[in-house]
Amino acid sequence: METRRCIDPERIVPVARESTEVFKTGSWGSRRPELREKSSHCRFVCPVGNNIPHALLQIADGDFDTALATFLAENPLPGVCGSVCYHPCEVNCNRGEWDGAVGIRALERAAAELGNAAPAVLTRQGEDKPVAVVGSGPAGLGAAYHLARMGHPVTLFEAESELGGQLRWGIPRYRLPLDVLQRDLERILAMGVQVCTNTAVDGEALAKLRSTYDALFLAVGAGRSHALNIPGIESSGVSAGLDFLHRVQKEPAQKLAGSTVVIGGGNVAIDAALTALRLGSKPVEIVCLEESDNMPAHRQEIEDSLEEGVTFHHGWGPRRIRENKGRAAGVEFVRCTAVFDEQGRFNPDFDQSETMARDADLVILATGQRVDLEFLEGGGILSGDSGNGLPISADTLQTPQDGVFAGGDMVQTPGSVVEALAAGKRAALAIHHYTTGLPFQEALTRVRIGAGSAFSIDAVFRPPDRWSPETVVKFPDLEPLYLDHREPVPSRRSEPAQRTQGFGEIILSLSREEAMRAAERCFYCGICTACDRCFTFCPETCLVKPDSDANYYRPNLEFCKGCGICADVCPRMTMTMSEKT
Amino acid sequence: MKSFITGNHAVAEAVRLCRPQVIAAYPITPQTPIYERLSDLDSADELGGIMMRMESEHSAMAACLSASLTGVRTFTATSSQGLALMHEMLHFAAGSRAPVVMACVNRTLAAPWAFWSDQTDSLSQRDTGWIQIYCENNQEALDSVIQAFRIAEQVLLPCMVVLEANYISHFMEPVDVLDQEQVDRYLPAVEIPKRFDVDNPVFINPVVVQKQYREFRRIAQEAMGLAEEIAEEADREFSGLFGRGYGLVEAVDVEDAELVLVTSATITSTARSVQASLRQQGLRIGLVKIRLFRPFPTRKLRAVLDSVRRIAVIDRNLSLGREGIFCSELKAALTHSPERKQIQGYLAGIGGTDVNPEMIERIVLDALSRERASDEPIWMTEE
Repeated sequence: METRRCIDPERIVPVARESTEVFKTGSWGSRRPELREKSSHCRFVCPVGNNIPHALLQIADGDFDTALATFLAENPLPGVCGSVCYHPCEVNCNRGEWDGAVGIRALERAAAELGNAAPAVLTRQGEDKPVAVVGSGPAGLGAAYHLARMGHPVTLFEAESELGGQLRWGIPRYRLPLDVLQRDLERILAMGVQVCTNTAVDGEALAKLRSTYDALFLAVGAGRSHALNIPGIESSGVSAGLDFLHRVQKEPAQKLAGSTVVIGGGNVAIDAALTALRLGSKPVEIVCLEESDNMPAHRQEIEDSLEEGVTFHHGWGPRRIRENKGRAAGVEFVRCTAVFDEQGRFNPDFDQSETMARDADLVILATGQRVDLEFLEGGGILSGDSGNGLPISADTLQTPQDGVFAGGDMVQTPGSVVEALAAGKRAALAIHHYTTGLPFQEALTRVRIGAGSAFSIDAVFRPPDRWSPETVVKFPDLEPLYLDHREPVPSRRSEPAQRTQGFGEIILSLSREEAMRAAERCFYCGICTACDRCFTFCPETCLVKPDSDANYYRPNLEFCKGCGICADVCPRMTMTMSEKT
Repeated sequence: MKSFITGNHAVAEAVRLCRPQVIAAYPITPQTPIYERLSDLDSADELGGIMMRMESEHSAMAACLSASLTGVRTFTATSSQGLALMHEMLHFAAGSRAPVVMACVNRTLAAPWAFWSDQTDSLSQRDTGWIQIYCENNQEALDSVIQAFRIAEQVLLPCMVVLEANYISHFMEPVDVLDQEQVDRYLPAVEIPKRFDVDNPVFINPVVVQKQYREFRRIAQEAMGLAEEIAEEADREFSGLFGRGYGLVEAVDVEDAELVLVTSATITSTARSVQASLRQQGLRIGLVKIRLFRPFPTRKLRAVLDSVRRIAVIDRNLSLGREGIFCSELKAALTHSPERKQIQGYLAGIGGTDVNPEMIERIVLDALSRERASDEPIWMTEE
């Protein structure tokens, strides 16, 4: 049969091979989709504002170098944080509400171990504005690092013989191996930071520094232990927790004989107990005011201790140290009936009628640290008698003294490594703006992650395109239709029996493959992974993929009706709708 | 080989023999046995295609027409409410020129809720652009499905094969089920436009402007005209190969008829015996069966009825506010007949009520005795 027009395939239905351009449907819509990166929940809660989803996407791609660079954009110590951070990121990981949080901390460590990257220089604006940093713990290191990235000549003053503060002296090697710390430190030193070790700074020295440098950052930490006013405290064989740890770090080969009682329920108490165990002490007991559930120590560390054979006694406060010829022989305890008073303040109450006695050759008091500001006396820079520490601006960390900034444990105790790093970072940005006269608030507002205290220092100088850092992506914002279930990659831990034989790490590093597998579990909340869903589901086929014109998905607005399907199917809330203006 | 089967199973057998690649359907009484039988064949791996159990008739038709646009043979079946739900997609299938074949088992439309034979469901889809074939018995249902694939795929229009609830769907009759080799000889492998070609991508049915729309309607109307030719040819060839055909319109003893009964579907069988018996009694009665309803075979009907004066049309359907739909269609078709006509419509069998020979005799006598036809249809009841 001859082909008649009424059955000619090309004529019986409208067929568009070029475009639907006869109808510019873009004018129909009142909304438009826009790809804008948001803040993941993990980044929001990370005190240093690590760009976690990007770093994890890079790890999943096997690009550990770029992943390390991503961490270094916000955090000078990825190896350290990858080992010891209390990882609020994991606690708040959106995947935790699905099938188990992503092991982010181990991935930061993997990036630090398997990647190679140099920190990016942010600006040279600080070149002629030298800054002195006093104290080389995480706060001081954080400030020095970011100041150097902004061009400032930085001199780091450290009273001890080596850098690191509590990272070196307070955290046992089984949590933070020396080579991991060393690698992070070398990266900072390679940026040209000048170091003066064995240089304690007093009030007069401070005044001198103030006249030589454009600004000072004080971060001397909180190295003084709280004293307990009980009988026998002066006897030999009684040691403060941090002093004990410091001594062991200096002489790791020493041995202990006999039993140890550690008084306190925080992380220092746990560290002291596990260290005593490793030096040969047996038994090792921890006695604390708090019940098991209320101990300030991290849960995992308590479990580590139980595994290794530490015995816990909860609900006891020390009454006196028992002596034998000037040496500690044991401790007497009374029952603690309440740790906090009705106002919720630390104010323990005791029942003197109920007692307990423990024998001990070594008594370690891990009952908290405090700041020692006496060194500030003299020189007229700052007063050291301000009671509850230094009064500083929460925003800029500037002290009442112009050009003098302070942060870390010295200002807020107890703190964590990552919080000290965050203080150093905030101080660095504030100091940079102070010394250059640029408006600090304006810069900070642009780069804050959500409404929290974290911010991106990288974005101040390298602002990302299409970025809405103020919006935090939480689990309900994700599209669960597109979420699969994947088993968490378990961390490998050394056997408890083996651990107590030395100072080898408890948590073993991830292999390259394990790291990639673990990173693939990330939902990459708020960022674009080029998953193509928006492109695939656009019913108007008017979504344009990244190409030579632009490196992101965007609608052809001549035809986009604003139906919002691309935003609906975006699993990670990166494509979102906004009103047309 | 003859099998003693229901009309539904006859349809399913025909579908199997036609080897559709995609069947997408949703069950509904009284179509369900078609769905069940095809499911059984699918489970036994005897279909050769994909059987999609859909979540609704609307989706079933959407799936069929989309699959059809990829160039494959497609089939579905439904009834009544299901067909009504499918309505939007029927327009889409026809407008997309997708040669989907569908069996529609006539059933009363709710409300009130019922399950009896009534043609109003399929006739309500008159204007959707589907070819419609009405079947008289189980054998015709089987044969019409096979013909439908050929017609639809040649003219690129969807085709509905209509069979009545219970009288065909569930009644068993001896049916000659053709063998595969016979059907393969009659029905070639599907060869329809493949619209989804990654090497030559197209967007089907973009928005058109007013004049473009008008042109597509004009072309579709032309295709309907061609469909009549193709349907006739398809039936003729079928008849040549297998020794039975149906025509688009069948006329019995009309040449000298004083009155011609016009029927469709199963009422035709009963009317045949009444017509024969009245002829024996000396009444010059003729019979015309309308098998193809869309496109409406106007030319064929005029050829057999132009010279007839009295016509009685029996409808098991009703367009409320007018009359039986076959009656209206016939009146319109014969408007230009040179002979002045007296065409009387009768509503018989509405709601699946029985139309027995005695009732048809009463219709004949009424029609013969009328001086003038009424503009209103006459309701036929048991007494």
